[in-house]
Amino acid sequence: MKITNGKDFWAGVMFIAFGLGFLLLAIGPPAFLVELAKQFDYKLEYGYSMGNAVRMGPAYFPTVLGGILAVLGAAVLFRGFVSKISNPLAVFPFRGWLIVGGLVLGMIAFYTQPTRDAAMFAQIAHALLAGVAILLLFAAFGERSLWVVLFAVVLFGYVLKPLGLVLAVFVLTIVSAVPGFIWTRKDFQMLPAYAAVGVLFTYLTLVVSSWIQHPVLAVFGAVGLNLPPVLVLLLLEIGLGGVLAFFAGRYKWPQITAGHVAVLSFALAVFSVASFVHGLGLPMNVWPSLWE
Amino acid sequence: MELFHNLAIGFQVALSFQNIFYCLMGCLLGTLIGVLPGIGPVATIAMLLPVTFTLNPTSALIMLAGIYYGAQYGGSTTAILVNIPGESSSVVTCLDGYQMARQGRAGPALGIAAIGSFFAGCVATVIIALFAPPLAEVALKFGPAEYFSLMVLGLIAATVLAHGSLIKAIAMVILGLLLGLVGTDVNSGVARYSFGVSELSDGIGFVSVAMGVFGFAEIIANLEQKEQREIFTKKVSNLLPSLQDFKDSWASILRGTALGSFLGILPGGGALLASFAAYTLEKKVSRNSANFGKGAIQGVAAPESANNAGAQTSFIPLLTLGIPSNPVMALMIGAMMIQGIAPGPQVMTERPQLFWGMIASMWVGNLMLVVLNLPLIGMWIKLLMVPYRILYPAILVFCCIGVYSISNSPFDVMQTAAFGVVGYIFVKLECEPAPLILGFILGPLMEENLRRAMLLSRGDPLVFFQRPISLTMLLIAGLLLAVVVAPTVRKKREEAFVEA
Repeated sequence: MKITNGKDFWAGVMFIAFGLGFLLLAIGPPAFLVELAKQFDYKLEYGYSMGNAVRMGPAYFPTVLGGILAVLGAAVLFRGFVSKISNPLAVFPFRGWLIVGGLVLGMIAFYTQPTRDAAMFAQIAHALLAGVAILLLFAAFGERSLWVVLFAVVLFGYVLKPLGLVLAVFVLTIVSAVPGFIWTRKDFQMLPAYAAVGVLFTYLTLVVSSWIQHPVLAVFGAVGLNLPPVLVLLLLEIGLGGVLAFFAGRYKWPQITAGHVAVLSFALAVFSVASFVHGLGLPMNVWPSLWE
Repeated sequence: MELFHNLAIGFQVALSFQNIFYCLMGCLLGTLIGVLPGIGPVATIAMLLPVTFTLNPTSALIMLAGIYYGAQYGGSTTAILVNIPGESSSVVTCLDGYQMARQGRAGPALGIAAIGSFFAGCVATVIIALFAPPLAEVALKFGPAEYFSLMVLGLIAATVLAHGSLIKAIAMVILGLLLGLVGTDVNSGVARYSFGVSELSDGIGFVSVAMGVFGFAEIIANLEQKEQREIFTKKVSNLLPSLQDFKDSWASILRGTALGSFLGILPGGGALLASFAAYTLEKKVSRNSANFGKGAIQGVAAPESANNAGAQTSFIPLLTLGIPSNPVMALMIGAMMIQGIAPGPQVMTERPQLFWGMIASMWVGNLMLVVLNLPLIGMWIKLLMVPYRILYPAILVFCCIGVYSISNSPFDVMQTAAFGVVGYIFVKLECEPAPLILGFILGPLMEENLRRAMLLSRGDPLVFFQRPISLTMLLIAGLLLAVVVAPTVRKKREEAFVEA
């Protein structure tokens, strides 16, 4: 038997793993294992209760589905051997040793969680450890673009609370722009500027959206213009886009013209107005709270 | 004339200043993302879901609906000018639209696409207004058994119509159902598959799944491809098609609209299927089928009308049965649930303002799109020329803030990134993610209805075959599967997808 279609082969493996995983977690370990674990002072969790067809327990539906998924996975796996379409077995770059490293670090991070009142540096060290574990797990798959972009995302989630939105957006833009970067001097110079623009737009959105009863709007009101904050935001951002386009035109960034910047700003303005939520719904740190 | 009375209520709601504004925002945003390759309506709607927390339900749904049909308009622009489908439903438009552009007829191609879409949008709006009420009346008689069978039918139909392998699609549905079960079980209070993580006991957030699998994975896949775009910008002049063009294409527009409206209603249907089917039909019917693929205007008119009609009529199952027929509708259900509205037949009677307001807004939105799009086309083209490396960090920022603001916790962001990896693996293994999202939304609903049906029948599974409506639906589902597995159809289906 030779594997002809690598894509089907791995898809089959994936479905079987998911199916059996859900199935086994629902059923739980057999009773003798739980007893055995008790001997060693280790508490194993039982599975969820199965119930019967009339009163289904929480395990019933997932067990059935997990079984079906595993069977379908086996069928896909089998097709990997007989399929007429041929695909190499190496569908995407996969680095096993990174997975192992990530899992080990992740386990360490999971079992050494510091308490809430632990020292500051312990918290930071722990967060770093967990972060490295996640990075390793992401970096195990795919090309550079995959793990750099996703790591930027994770980083954003981590730093938003302590560093505040402004810095977090800055970091996210810079890190995530790396896969598309062309390594020229102008690109190096423009990247921070670009990130700063991103920050400016998000900041404007946040600030103006909390302006429902702001004195600035009252001034407009006195002139007889009843401007809702949304429109103010739209106008401000489009104006800002115009200014940026003017400068971009003079700067001559490779492949990017004033027109590009203008339209991009317009698009950003539309996006941010659409996501105009009175203060984005929830309170968010705009500036760093670390040093307070 | 209850219909007119209802429509009058609808227009009253849709034409209020606030709703016009949100409709405009939705349409603009929809066109924007439709034009941009690499970010589709699913990811955008997922991203804006947290935003709609604070809007009133009608405005929220009007805006989200605008994004969906706006994307159908925008997608055609990219398809015609760049030969890249801005939207998956405009894949077939590339075939003839791009050829027309190469012959210097980009203007008429864009024009006929917009006009066809507008016509289809108007017809689809009327169809929704006419057919939704009687369907909802039928749906009120549904018990748990019927709902369960209906969901089975919907999921099977979604897999049959998905691209690629049938087994993989079904496996993806089941994986989606399983992922949907993560979290606290309503009946017993057991936190399933949460591994002691408190965030997971509320279940996996579907914004995370949708954004990770559709948004992030798409961005990454786009980054891996090297940019190769040939854009016909200078040749876009005369947008109005000639009289001859109209003569050639009016019948195609009519056929596309009819077919699209019909396919949109089916579970599993929607814009994507409609455009494929319309193109195939047009090729069969047309007298000069040799011209197809070489810049036939019918090959642009029919699929563009069909995808817009399909996009709109796919709201019918959502509004009357509470069953999503494609991932966008699944997200709409999510939006309704956030607002505390249980989707289903009762929406129409309990909230006529919402129901009819949304329908009326679709017509208003279509009008806006025609008025906006034709003059603004130059701007959309400019946007296409912005290098992707400048574009995607901005998209990413909005995605991340959107995800974070769901519950102000880094956990959601992390979860979304993890689903980005999963989505990337799906892309590489050729597993279509759309059925997964459908299963994910329907998982808890399906379990609930299965439990209720079995409880009522005292554990007799035959109940699904004894009730006539339920039996019919299961039979149709079985028939669909049988038809697809049959060798001749299988060949045809593969051909249809290969062609596109």
